[in-house]
Amino acid sequence: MPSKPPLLLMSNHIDGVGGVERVADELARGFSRRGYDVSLMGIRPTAGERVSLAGRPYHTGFLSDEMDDPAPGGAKRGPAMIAWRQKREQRRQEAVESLRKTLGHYTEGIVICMQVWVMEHLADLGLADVMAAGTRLIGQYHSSYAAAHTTGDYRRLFRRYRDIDKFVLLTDTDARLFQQQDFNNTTAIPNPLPRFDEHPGGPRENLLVSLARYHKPKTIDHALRAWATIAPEFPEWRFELYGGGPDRADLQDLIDDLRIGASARLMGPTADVGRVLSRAKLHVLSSQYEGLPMVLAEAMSMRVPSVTYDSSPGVREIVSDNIDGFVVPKNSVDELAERLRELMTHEGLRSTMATSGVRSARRYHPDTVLDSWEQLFTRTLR
Amino acid sequence: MSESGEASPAVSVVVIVYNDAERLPVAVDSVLRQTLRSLEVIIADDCSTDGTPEVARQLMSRDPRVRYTRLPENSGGCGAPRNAGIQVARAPYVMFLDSDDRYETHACKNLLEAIEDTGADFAMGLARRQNMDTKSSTQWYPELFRERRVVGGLQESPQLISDTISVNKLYRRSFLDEHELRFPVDIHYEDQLFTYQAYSCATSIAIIPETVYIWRIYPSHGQQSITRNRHRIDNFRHRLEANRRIDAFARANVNEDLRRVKDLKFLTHDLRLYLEDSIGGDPAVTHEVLDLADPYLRSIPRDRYDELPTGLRVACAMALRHDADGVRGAMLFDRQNVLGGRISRHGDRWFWSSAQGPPGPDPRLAPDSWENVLADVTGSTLVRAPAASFDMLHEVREVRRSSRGLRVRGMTFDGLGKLAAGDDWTLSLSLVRRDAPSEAVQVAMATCSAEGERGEWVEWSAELPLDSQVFRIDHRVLWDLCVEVRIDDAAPLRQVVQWRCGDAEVSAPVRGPGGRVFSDRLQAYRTWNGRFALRTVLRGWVRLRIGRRLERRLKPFLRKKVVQRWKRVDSARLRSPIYDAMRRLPLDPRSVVLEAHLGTIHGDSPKYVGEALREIRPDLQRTWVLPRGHRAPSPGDRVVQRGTYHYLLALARASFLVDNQTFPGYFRKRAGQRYLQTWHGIPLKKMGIDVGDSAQLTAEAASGDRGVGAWDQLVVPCPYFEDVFVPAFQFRGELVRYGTPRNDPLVTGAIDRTDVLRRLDIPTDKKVVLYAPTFRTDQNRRPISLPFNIRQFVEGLGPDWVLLLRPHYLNRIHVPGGVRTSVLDVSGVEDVNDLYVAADVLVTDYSSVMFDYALLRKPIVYYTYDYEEYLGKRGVYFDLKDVGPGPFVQTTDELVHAVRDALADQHRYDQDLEKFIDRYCGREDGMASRRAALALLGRD
Repeated sequence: MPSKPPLLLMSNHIDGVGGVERVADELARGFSRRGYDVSLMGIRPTAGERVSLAGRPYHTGFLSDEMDDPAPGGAKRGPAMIAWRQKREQRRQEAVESLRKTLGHYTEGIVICMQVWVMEHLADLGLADVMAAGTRLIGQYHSSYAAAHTTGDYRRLFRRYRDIDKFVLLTDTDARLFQQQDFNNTTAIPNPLPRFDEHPGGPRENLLVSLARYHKPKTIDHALRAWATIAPEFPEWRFELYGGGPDRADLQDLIDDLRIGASARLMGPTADVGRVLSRAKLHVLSSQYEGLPMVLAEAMSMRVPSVTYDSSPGVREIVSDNIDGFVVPKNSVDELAERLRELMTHEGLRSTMATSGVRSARRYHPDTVLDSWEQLFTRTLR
Repeated sequence: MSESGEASPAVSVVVIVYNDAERLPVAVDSVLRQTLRSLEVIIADDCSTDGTPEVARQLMSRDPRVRYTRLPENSGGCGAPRNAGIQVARAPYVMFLDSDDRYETHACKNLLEAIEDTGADFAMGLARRQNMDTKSSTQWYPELFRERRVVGGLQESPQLISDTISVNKLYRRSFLDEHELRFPVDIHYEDQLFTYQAYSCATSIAIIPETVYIWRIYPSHGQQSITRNRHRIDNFRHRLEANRRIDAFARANVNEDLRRVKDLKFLTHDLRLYLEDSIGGDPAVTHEVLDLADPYLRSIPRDRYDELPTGLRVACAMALRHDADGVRGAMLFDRQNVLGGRISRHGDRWFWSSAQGPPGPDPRLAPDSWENVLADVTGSTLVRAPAASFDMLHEVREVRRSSRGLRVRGMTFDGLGKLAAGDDWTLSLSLVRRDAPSEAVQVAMATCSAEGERGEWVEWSAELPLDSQVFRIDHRVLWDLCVEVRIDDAAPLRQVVQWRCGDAEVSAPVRGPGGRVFSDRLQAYRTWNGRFALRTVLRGWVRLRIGRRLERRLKPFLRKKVVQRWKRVDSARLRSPIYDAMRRLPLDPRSVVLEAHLGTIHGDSPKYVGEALREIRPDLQRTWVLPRGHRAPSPGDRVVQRGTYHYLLALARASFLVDNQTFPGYFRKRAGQRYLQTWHGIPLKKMGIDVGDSAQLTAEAASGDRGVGAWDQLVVPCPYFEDVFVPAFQFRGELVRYGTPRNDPLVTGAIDRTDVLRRLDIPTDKKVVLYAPTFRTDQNRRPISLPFNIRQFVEGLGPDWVLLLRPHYLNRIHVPGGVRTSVLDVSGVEDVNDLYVAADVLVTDYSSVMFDYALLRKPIVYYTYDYEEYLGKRGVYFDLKDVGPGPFVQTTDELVHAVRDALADQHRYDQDLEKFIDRYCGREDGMASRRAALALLGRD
């Protein structure tokens, strides 16, 4: 086996604006920087909003060039639906066929399926046969064990991911939970942060930020209520809320009701999270449900401690309470306010937490993540 | 493939084979398809005489990683071929595989990474035993493999010794060579000696949680029972020999402590396996096993026996007496909790004796002989075990065909004199459907009076009705014969019945239409664990062709849930319109619906409100919402199940409604209906609008005919409840102040403790600890059983204590064998007040039982091992640790001490307790039920 095997990364779509696409690009860039021959393939071009694939430092392509077309609607057994389904089936055949050709180049290489749907295409060629030919198969899953159950992905994973070379989860907890269900090939590698900048230039302002969508499950109103109780004590501090979403008007009403319009502002969406975090001193996240909220890691990497609700196991995976941030019980507005006050009052505490935050966010540093992947490749090739 | 065949491989797998050409390819393929490619397969052939060499050649030609070595002559064991394999292995790591088993796909890689990452001498992973008939699999000592870890040899983790197989491990070649570890070649169970030596020599062992080995079990039904017995005895002989050699090795190489662990492992594993055969086996074989075991048992230091659970220790005593019946009785107790022997008193000692033999110690032997000392059970909790903590011995002695079906004659043995001690007792027989124990068919039964020296044998006979009651078109339905024992007014006990009527199975045709059409027969047979059961035998082409096809078609409907649902309204979507239609019927002015905990129990406050209603307005028709098969709480009451038409109708027409939780989502209160909400606990965790996402609740409150808005009266136990609960739910109706209906009997003293203890059959001088936790699930969302080590807890408290377990009704518990006689599962006791009165100490966590129990002013211990995790997530109204009137403990050890201290120093928390009661508990005057009932009826 060559020391740097050819890599094929595959994901449902590669030209969309979603999180998986971003991570795929991040990883592909990283691998090619480290001297691998990398291809990134999507099953077909996305029908939604698209980004350009030009100028990327690795090969890109699609299994089939036709775009998704949405279901025509109408009766389940109506002619339109039948035709649509037939076409879909035909396209899948094409995709599988083109996959067969592509795989010819990877008998000594590694194929990473970033989503289970891709592995299902591969399975049409027989996973055992593909592996017997020498190709190493790695499957990734970007949600938690609990989410796999609620979304119904679990059965698909159980069918396709148990016999491949490695099943890569985002956290150790998830890897262990799957292992207990007799998945004997699990490991965990987190997604890399898009940027890692522990010494951003410019002075820090007395600024608290929120980087959550204006949407009910994020319960931004809790953060605002907490802010309202402490804002009078800190006239020199401001609270900026970045994001888009349907509930902007409601939140503005709440700000007016609470009479905190002078210090709290809805800033709308931002394209440059890094810039926002480089100005801020604190970050708050008061949502009801989260998966593995990478925004916490990102804030940590930029020396911004977070005060967050304990809204999922993923939160605690990233933030260690009292060490690099505060994790408070969900829906406890009082405690949220109390912890914010503590950090706003004690500059020393804030800076200690910021320092330990950077240290623990190293796990998500692109270099660390790429190292883990490379180690995995070495082991997979044996 | 790549060059990995020629270059030095990372792992050598030695596959041993003898005349198994058929299965060898499966085993070898499971290695070749490993996700670790860098390996070699060495087929070590024990001089097979079938097509094995040819098959091996084919495998070699298919994959260059396969090699073949052949012993010059057959060795008859696994040791010689494995050693030969080690000899030619080229890799730095070695594994073993048997030709009839296979590896899990990632086994080699997982073990290799573990041994490389840790530098251990060998690495081990989980094995699964797969039954090749049913394809079901069980894990081999899973508790050893829960965590990924490294242990520094056997000293550090003696329990590893139970895993005696060599095939689930990857060995460092240099480790094997350095200690000259090879398999013995002249005995079976070479694994045991080899593994023991490997454990003893290792200074570092890596353990991984992943499955590595699939051990395929081929049930041997084809074999003649005589050859099987022969085989079994030979095996036992070999096992003893392996153990003798282990002892010789241990004497020279390891310390006393590890020798003790090894002896206990022999007694609790190897010996138990063979003594267990006596339950259903041939007494002649048992005798031969006992003859073989005798000298070896006497060579084990006597103090080892003191550490055995009572049943097994007594079985050893009986084994030394060469008493096959006695061994059977003791093993029944050990394995199945069936008391198969007599407990009797001689002087100041208590002895176990065989049910068939005379009571007491064997007078022909010295009092300090092993045979008698090991049968001495003085001090065991068994001597005064409550009747519900074990099964009596019931066995069918004869079964034959009769004109109406099957006639059985059986005996019941009352080894502890429980029947004799009661004033009145009855035994009754029933056939219980195995997959749905709530379905039971009563069988008429005749009992003859007790016989035997102390009246301990009861003879009975019965005719099993093989008619439509037990006929099911699904031929896989099995029926277990059970005896129900009723002593005085205690709750009836359902107990198992043993098969003791020879080897022949008896069958008779099914009567009644269905069975006759299909010419099915019901057959009485002995289950794998020696019990009496009935199964369906199919006959004739009609049944085999048409019947099976029909059965397949009906299969989805035959499943228990679906059948039950037939009687319910079809789907939730249908219920709402049907209920809406029913709401147009006139209200019934005399009807009251009572429901507690979503219709699951007859209890909590609605029970007492119901009783008060019966006194005040006897003319009211009370309709109780209860599970299927529940009897009417009092004469004249109706019982309906949630979700049925009857339920909808009752809900739609009743003038009065009593509930302690909530009615279904489609419920809308009608004008003229009165709805009393009793609620089921004092709030500790935040609820209602205090927990953020409550927009829905408030909306409901506003709409007025459902949710909180539908409540007319709310029972308010105390001012604290009023301050917290009422605003949280924005309740605006009438408040029934103060007191909780369900607590009335606690403060009026209506429950007599002696009477409760008598019904539970607990000696009055015992101390009683009640464990009543809240419901919780583990990380896989399965209900968890007991979060502490029950054996350690019971043994720590000592024999004077009885532990009552009251798990949440969704939680199942498993009580380990050794402590069963000190533990009672009281989830069947309907009125929890009885248990409060019986208890000396309550152990709980965050359950609202603490508020009720505190009223009795008895000690409480808080076992809150997950305090932060459990309470932290949701927010609480007050910090329990600040006000809880008792110690908070986290570990089993602390729990034991806290419970003992609580009773020793009862008044330590008196002040806290009074404060707690004053602040949070109900203001109880014993009249709460009456007040609530009057409020519901609209009177003062």
